[in-house]
Amino acid sequence: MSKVQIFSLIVSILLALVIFQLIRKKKLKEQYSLLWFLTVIVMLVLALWEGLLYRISSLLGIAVPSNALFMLAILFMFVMSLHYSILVSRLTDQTKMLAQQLALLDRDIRKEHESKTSADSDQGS
Amino acid sequence: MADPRVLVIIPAHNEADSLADVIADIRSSLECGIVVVDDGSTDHTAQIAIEQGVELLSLPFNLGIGSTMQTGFRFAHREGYDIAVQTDGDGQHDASYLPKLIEPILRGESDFVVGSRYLTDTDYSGSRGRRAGTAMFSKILSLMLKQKLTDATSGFRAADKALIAQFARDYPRDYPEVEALLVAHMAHFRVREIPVAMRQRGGGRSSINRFRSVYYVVKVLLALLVVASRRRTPRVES
Repeated sequence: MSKVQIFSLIVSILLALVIFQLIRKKKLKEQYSLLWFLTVIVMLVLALWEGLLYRISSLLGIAVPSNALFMLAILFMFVMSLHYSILVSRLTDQTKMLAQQLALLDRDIRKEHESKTSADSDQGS
Repeated sequence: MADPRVLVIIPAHNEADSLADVIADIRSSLECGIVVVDDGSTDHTAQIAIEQGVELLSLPFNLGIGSTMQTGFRFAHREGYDIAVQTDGDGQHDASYLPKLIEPILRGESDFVVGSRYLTDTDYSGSRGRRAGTAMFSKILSLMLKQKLTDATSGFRAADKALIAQFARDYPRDYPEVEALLVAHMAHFRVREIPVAMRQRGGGRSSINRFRSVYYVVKVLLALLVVASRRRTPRVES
């Protein structure tokens, strides 16, 4: 096993442990953890199976295998941030709806309270 | 329309200084409900609304003008109002034009009426950049709607009941004025402009600075493109 393989192996295992710990502490939803575990598995496979990266790069017509790796990694990150953008948009929309609903309910409670206090003072007089 | 119920929506972000006067002007001009939508103000905007005895919708944090207006439309829709009017909280809009603004809706001639500064020769000048932006958007909208529009960015406007329902469901988020016009047109609402005079904004503290104005133009152009790419939907009656 080459030096770089051992290094990649250690990094992958460390990442897997971090993700597992995050799930255990409930800081990461399982939905996302699956994706990150998948990422770590891909890293592991690439680290252990030496020939795979060469095959992929020649398949894509990329001369230097490391470039193929970088390209795939950047592509993956791009898709991930796009995914987060969609997610943030949805959350923003939901927050907006909640804030509006809160404003409406807040008004209703105030009205209810006002009519109650005025009814009370009517009884008192 | 027999005895229509009109709601004037005042989106307000830190308008404590002018709000009381604005409310008084509206009351002397039109018999209507008034709701102040407080967009996370840090001054006592909300307190003034309560003191004046108008409806108050208080947003817990700043959402921006579009979502603030939508809050008002949601309220108007829920309370079954026939017409909703939008007017600024800074006193820029002259409340004496309110009856004229809703008249085309009352007569059943229009569903969405916009008060235009530029339809007749008024003494309103505004900054040159603002005028140019408004002129450009008005030109683009005129082409898209196939009718002449002069003040697409005006925030002094009235919507009928069906349009209230539409806006309660979906209203553009920021810089909504231009986009809302196209959205209404795409949903087969009849848009109409009437001439109004507007006052100069006191102190000239426009909320749009140089960098933002670039973002404004790009954002609105993109939004128009997106809305125009959608299919025209049949008009939904409330």
